[in-house]
Amino acid sequence: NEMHLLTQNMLQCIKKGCNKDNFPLRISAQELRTDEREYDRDFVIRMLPRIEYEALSRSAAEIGVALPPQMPADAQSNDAFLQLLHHALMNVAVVTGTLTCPNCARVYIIKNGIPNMMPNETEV
Amino acid sequence: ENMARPELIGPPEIFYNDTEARKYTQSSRIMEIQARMTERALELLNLPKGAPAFILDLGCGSGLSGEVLSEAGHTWVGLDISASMLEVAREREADADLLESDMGNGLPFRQGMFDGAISISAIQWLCNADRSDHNPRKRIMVFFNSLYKCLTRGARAVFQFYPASMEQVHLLTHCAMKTGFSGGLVVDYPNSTKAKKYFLCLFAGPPTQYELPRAKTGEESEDDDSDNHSGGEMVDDDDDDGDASDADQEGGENAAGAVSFAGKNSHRRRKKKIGVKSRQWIISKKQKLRELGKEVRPDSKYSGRKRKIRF
Repeated sequence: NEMHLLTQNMLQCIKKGCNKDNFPLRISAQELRTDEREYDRDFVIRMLPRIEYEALSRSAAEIGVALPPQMPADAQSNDAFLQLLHHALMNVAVVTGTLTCPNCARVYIIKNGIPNMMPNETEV
Repeated sequence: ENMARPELIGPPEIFYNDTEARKYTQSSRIMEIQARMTERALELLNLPKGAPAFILDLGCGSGLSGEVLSEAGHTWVGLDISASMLEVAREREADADLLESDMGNGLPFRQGMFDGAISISAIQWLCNADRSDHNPRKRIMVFFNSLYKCLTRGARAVFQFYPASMEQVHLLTHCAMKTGFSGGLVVDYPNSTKAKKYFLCLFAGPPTQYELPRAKTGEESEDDDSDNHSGGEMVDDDDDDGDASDADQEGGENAAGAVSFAGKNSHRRRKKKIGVKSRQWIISKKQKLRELGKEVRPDSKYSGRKRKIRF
């Protein structure tokens, strides 16, 4: 139940008025963990069109996970790529770290694997 | 029934403290009820069979509802306002990513991410103003708006909740409708005080494709569960009879206790006509003339007032 890159790839800044360029939240990790989730091909294929691939490969690089910079054209049938993607999306987990909005620089803290997306007093 | 409603005791992030959160791992009764309600919510989600889906659990708490999702083979993301509850979920090794977040502030997700959303006993908290700067209606609107966006088109969201009053039900359905959802309220076992359960079923997509599931009454046979898609009142987009605007307000009701409504895009909304020469009509007329730069007498309490009958 730590934060995986799949979640990071859908998160955007919640600060009021920060509606543009508020994705992807820049990731920085102090503590990482690797899970052993079983490879679920159907699920990865289902998520393919929803993933912002460029943002994902950049974020993965930030925490030292290698992904090809471009999604291969045959991604749907490329099993080697899908397995790599599965690993990056579902198995690499951030236990401690931060997420930073690229637009307003708001920092979200990840503690015990749980990002705190609560607005503070001044943000509601 | 004098049992205090937890929403009235304090805000959720304070009410669900460490002691309260423990109850969710120790009381087998709570766990059993939560699991059964989740199973029902999952059934009402009506996901395509055999495909692993990506689901959002709103107010996931200690992860009891999520366990049901995991067992069904789905991947889920849980969100809760209470750090204590999330801590319990973590200890129980919930098989999901968790976020500490306040639904009333809007969901922090991009568009079209989830195949569905469930929420067990959480949304009634949104109807309360826990702080002076909270406006429940506004928070509910912000929440539904962000939920509509982060669901894929055609996805459903099912909320089991305990409404404190009919006004709360109306507030929630009205806000959901305004943000574009269609759907309705399914009341299981409407004639039983104990077993009665409310499910707000929302549909993010064209309302013509939506059929409200049938509520449970306790009289159906076991295998009846599988075709909960056959009954229910359907709100039709091409409804040409004069009752369309009524249905908009009240929704249809079917025998088993399901009430449906349609989203804002489904009806050609009929505006209530303003009476000619009424105060409202006069004021709007004067405003229009003012905008054209004409010289108009200021509005006062006498504007549009009937003269006394004099001799």
